[in-house]
Amino acid sequence: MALVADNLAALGALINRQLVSLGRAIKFGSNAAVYTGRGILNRRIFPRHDFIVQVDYTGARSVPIMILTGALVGMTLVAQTTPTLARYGPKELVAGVCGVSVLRTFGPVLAAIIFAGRVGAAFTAELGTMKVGEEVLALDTMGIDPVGYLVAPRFAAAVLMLPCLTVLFDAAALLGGFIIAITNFDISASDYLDVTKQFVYISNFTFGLFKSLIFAVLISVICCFKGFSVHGSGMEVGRATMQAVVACLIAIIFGDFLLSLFYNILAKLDIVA
Amino acid sequence: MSGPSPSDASSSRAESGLQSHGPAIKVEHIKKAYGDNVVLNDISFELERGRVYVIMGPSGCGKSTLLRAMIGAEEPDAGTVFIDGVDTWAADKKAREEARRKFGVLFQGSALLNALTVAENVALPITRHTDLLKSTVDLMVKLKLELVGMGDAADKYPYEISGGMKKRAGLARAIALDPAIVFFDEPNSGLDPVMVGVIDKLIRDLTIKLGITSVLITHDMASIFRIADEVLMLYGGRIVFRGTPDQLRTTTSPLVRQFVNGDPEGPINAPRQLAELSQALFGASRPVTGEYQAPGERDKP
Repeated sequence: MALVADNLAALGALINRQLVSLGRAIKFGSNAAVYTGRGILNRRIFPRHDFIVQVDYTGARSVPIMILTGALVGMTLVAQTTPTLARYGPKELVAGVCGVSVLRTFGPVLAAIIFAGRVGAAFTAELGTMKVGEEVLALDTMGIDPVGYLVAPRFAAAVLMLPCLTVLFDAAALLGGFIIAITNFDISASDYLDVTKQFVYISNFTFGLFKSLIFAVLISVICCFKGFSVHGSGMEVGRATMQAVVACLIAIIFGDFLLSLFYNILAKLDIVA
Repeated sequence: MSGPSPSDASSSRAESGLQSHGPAIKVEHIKKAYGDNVVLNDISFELERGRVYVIMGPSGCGKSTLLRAMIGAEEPDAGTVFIDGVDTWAADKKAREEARRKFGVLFQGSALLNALTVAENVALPITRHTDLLKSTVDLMVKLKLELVGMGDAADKYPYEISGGMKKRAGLARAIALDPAIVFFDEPNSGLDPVMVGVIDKLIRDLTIKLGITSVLITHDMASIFRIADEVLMLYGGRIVFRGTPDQLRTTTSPLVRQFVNGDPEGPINAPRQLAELSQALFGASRPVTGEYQAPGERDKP
């Protein structure tokens, strides 16, 4: 009985810690969003140069990996789905499967996962290192809010660039799937495009972009928060980075699930197709 | 270290916005504990203007916690700190920000932002808190860097310069806004003896030239005797000594004498740690060479 009570107490303490941490992360994220809004109006909040550096780092330098992985995902999807579809009906339907799944889920989710691994991890490591090196404290003692100076440019760049990268990922995946379909499975280009037009709605694309926006907020807040939570030695930076990436993966997949339910509700209300 | 009186620099102090009366820093009944470990136990003291103060004490005695409480980085459990009469821990955010404008900090690792050049680091607080033209900011930055002998390294990044240069650049940033008070956290750690001398001289000179109040956290005895006007020793969560370097040399307190002389045996609890380590390594039969003694009452000079 005592063992059960001890375990329940430990579970309660764990849940309590996680809820406190979640509350702090939400407050941190709200601060970052407020500073970003203020930063657009007042260049002293975060210098434009810092924002451009972050846009280059998070966006421009992520383009090759997004195009490469996007194309591979589209090609794999078509290569694996077409033979199965051919057994039960017209294999041209693969164009619809590829279009809808890439635009609604694979595009935003996989782009976000790659973004979390490449950019989010860097956010945590950079900020964690700055925390350990007392650079964050130095900013604070100079009367410069570290959230405004360090987090806001990263937050703004992530929110701007992840949807753009998702568009690139989507385009590469659709093109990759199209090429494999017409070269490997004897599907004509006109048939492929006709089926795509028939099954894929603009709302699939726009909702995918909406998802990527939400994922960008989640990734930047989680990773920057984890970076700012680092205490002690450099070893903590590595641990925090790993925790941040894991937390991002869970948040992206769980977020995708909730947003998919939300999309279904909108579809039932005839708000989206 | 001899030199002109710090009081000669009253005009510089006036420019820095420091009030002309009252203590520069007033620490009132500060208490801080981490769990059961009481680090600061009802500490109170006042520091006058234009002098070099050193707060010393063995590792883990709470020096850094006290510094963090003074610079507004770690809130004490009780008590408060007044910087030039402004409560650092006031509920009002504006008052806290006002208090922070009155001091600069040189951190142990310099804490320069690696993404910025040395000049940009020094310019950062100026551009953030003033509306000065870029040409004026550049001039101010050049002046501060020249003051610390770093004029040639303005365009270098922190990772391109040595530890001593980083300290000097950090000092230039700390005095960028002409603060009334500068805190130095272990300014000599990791530096060679010559560079330690250079930094010590720089601190002393700047205190005199700019009329600032310097507060150093260190346990480097050579530096303490070179530059301090007054020394405070922290031990067991309390101030156990306060006096001039001469008084520090001649004190009869066994605790302070042990620290000053670096004796491995004495009232400071290093022998107890050694004894515990000895017992862990060699068993209980190992003779204990020293006994732990609780921190004594304050030793008045």
